[in-house]
Amino acid sequence: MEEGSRMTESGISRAAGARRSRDRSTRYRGLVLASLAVLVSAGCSATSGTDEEGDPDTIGIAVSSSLPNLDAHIPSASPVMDVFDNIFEQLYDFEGDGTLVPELAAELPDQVEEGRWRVTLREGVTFHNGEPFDADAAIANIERMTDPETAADFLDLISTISGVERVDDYTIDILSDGLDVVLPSRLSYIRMMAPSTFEDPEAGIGTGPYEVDAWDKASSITLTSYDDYWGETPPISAAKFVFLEEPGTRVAALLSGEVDVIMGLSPDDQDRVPHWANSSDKAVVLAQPNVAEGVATGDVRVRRAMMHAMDRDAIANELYGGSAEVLNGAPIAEGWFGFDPDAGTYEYDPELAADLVREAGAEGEKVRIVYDAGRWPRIAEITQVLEAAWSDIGLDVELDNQPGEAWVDTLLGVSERPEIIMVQTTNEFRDASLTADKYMHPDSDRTTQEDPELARILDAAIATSDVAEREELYAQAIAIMHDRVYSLPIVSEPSATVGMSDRVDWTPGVEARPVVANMSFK
Amino acid sequence: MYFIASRLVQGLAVIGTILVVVFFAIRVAGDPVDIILPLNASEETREELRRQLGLDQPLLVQFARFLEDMLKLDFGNSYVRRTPALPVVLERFENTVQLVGMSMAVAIILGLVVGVVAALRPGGLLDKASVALSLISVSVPQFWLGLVLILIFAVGLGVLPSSGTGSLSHTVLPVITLALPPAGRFAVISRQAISEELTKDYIRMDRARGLPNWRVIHHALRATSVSIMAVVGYEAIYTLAGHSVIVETVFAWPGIGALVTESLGQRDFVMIQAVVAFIGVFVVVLSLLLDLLYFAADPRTSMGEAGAKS
Repeated sequence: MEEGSRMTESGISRAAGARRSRDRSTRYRGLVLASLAVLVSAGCSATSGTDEEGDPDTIGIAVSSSLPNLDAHIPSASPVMDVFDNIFEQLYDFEGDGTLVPELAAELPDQVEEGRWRVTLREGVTFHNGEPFDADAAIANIERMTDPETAADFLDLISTISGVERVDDYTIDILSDGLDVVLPSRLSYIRMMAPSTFEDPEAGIGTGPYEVDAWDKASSITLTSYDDYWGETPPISAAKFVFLEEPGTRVAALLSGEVDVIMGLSPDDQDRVPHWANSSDKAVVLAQPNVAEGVATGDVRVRRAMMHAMDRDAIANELYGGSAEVLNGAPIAEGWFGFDPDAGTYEYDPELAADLVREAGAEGEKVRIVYDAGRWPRIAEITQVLEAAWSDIGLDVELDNQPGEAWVDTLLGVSERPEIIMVQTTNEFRDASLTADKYMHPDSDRTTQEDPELARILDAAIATSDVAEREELYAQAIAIMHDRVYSLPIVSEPSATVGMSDRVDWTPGVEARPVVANMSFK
Repeated sequence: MYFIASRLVQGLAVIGTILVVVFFAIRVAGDPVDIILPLNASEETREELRRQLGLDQPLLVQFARFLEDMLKLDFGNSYVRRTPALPVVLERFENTVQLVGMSMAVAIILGLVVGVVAALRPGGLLDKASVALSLISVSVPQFWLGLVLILIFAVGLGVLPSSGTGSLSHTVLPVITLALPPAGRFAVISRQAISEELTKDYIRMDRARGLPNWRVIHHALRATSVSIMAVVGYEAIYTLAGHSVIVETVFAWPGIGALVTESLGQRDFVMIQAVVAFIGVFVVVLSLLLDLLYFAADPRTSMGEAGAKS
């Protein structure tokens, strides 16, 4: 009985404990739900607050990184240029179809003698702080940017400028070392900033249609239209550029309506966004061979075999979703001066490729491919495709991923040259001279070929301003590059792709930079 | 005292090692001048920059100068931003501490609640469910979790912003993303610790005395607080120094993690050096403080060591 009684008490105690436990569980559940409710309601109410603060006249644009500074002369990264192109202007710039047009200059430059270009400046232009834009301001900008001490990222593109002279208040002469037919294009890389702000990297005072209103260095920069702008008043009064590094986050911001335009849209995300557009400008993908004696790729038959082994149509269609085009002849894209539509090509023929490798006695020869997987989209996938293709024709292929500066050192021959290094390059001048001189000229660190015939032709092509003569010279050069396979051209692809919301009306220009003055709301 | 002195010496040794590694790692990675200047900069320009940065001096002289600057909290000027590095690091660090602090608070509350609920009924439905949820939250990659939360709450429901800062709403998704994995770990650990504690004699005594359940749990929690505190402390360090990089990148949260990825992309070696040195020193100091806290909470922490040494 006693035992039974104890058991009963114990049972009651357990039941009471269970009730207490249920009460506790209920309280815990309540606590959890209450916490989540507070968190979400706080979030929702704050979101409403943001919406209320949001200005429907402000366009939101997501770029892929923050701005290191607002010095127009130093950085060169695309996300920085995306913002700078609204604040700063150049003497000349490229229109949507790739034509060079005057911007802060009043007209196209006049070549008064070899190595001397006369530039007439637009009058009535002021910087955002009220300083006048005149010959003195232009000279100060050109001198500062071409000074190696400034360490401008674009220095290599303007290095042929040897001096600048004042003619009158609105006329200057720009001097170059010898004849430089692309000098006007070079001037499109010199952005003009108020000389009084040269020592203040955070001032951001230009002459553009928008001036800096607020800059939260870590997250966004807001621009408002400049009242005294020399040109037409832009349709959109303000733009907020937000810095979203992660591509998926940029897409989400567009889909949720937080921004209207996103830069750097991946081909994989094109179907997810309301609208997207490519730049008309191209980037070319090439495999740069080491043609020195003693390595497998030193034999032109092996290089031809490698070309025949690549199924470049498959690469263009499968890896780029059809947005890329197979390159013929040389890594010169359609739309660049010097492009030759009739240049030869190497058809996909793996059997012929294997025969060529055998003929060259290169079966089992080592081919190391250096690439930087994180440098450009699809470069890793292309490299893996090439590894398989070239292994199939009898070469002993080895992949070597070299990130960052290691890749640069290898490209420039500072580190041991591999048989192949993968490259993707744009052409800022849209002129064959830039790419050919970098990757095909024997004087360049990026190639090991020492072909005097090709060097002579390329030198002649930049020493004449006769358009027909230049075209003919580049056709000859491309024929040599193709026949001797001094580079293995693969595909060209749009250099940039942007995503847009339904409310934006904008046709991206040549580089697809988000120039807000060219945008409007529907 | 021996315990405190020993931890101090260890902390200083680790800080010294971090500074040595930071100094030499930057130099092993390549010539900073090549990183800073354009590819075609002239040799004169390179030499001038080398002189400005003191890279023309013998390595030991450079190291001595580096240590001297560190002691003066001079991390140098970012060559990319053209401004001193330390204020940028501090500003970003504040943002990260804010994010990590809120995440840890949420993680502790969630973890303890789930852990206690599970421990009250070992083997029950709630226990099994909470363990499963805890394991899932621990296993889910934060990068993926962040994107999924963005798709649901920002893109799908439109109730929260997908990224950025500016209001409390901007903190919700990154805080949840950062909090869930540690919450899962806290839940598993607190469940285990409290389950064990609840079987001890003093708890039986509590129950026999008819104390209400919440007081019994309170006693058990107090007894397990040191072990749970240890996990919380180190979880906070891992989150601050590591996991925040991914979450800040996904949510564009302007913290120290985002600063690291930005600086790597911009090849800003001065900033990277400043971040690594600052975080390294901060983590060591925080670890030291945690050790002292354990010592204060449970003096046996030092007794064992002292005993072992004697």
